[in-house]
Amino acid sequence: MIRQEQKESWHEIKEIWGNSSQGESINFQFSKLIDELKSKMSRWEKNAVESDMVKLRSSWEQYKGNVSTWEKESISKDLSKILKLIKKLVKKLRRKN
Amino acid sequence: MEHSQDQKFTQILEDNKDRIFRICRIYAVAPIEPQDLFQEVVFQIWKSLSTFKGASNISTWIYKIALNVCSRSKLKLNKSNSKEVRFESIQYLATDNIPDDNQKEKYRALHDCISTLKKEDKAIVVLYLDELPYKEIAVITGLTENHIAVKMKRIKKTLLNCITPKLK
Repeated sequence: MIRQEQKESWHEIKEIWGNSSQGESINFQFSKLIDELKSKMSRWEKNAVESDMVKLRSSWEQYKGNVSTWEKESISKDLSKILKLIKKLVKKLRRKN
Repeated sequence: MEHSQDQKFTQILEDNKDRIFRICRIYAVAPIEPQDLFQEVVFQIWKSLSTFKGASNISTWIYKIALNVCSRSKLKLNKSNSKEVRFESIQYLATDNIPDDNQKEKYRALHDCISTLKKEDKAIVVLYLDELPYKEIAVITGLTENHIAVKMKRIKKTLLNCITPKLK
């Protein structure tokens, strides 16, 4: 008995759902819609780039403030070592030629 | 190439507009209106169409997009606290077949009961009511068919408990 009632209620739910798109119809003017979408797309792209830039700037500000003098010195030492090595390599290559 | 893509897009919209709008109606909570969500789904389909490689059914893909957009748009629109400008090229017209007060009341009851479900259950029941097989629901939600079947049993019970007194 309960099962039968549940079955009927479920059937009613399905019917309500099926009828839910009644009363309203959606019409498209496709050529206009495509133009609108294209313009929204370029706006969206611009906004996305802008928001990326804001994020990059703010994280760079944070990052910049967190670099210690020790880190800076260590990086500059590494860079000078790399430069020396490159110079040596270039000299050797020139000699061979 | 662009022309055929446009044609494909228009065909997809024509074929799926009613099912997309049904989902938008369920997920729209004031001040967001179904039309706002519908337009967001249309825009998302437009943006993503070039990435659709046909690996799944087109309807599966559409449902995925619609559910994603509708469940996230609430947050997005609330966050920005502003509504997007509506596309003038999409018109929502009243048909002759207008539901009576009783039908409206019943739909409101169903809407309210579905709204009480958890996010995942809400998506499952919407797809189930659209008569999708468990296999397709599984693809869309990323759950297994068995899991869907178990969940559906519970969801049905919850939904019936909620709606039965309202329909009497």
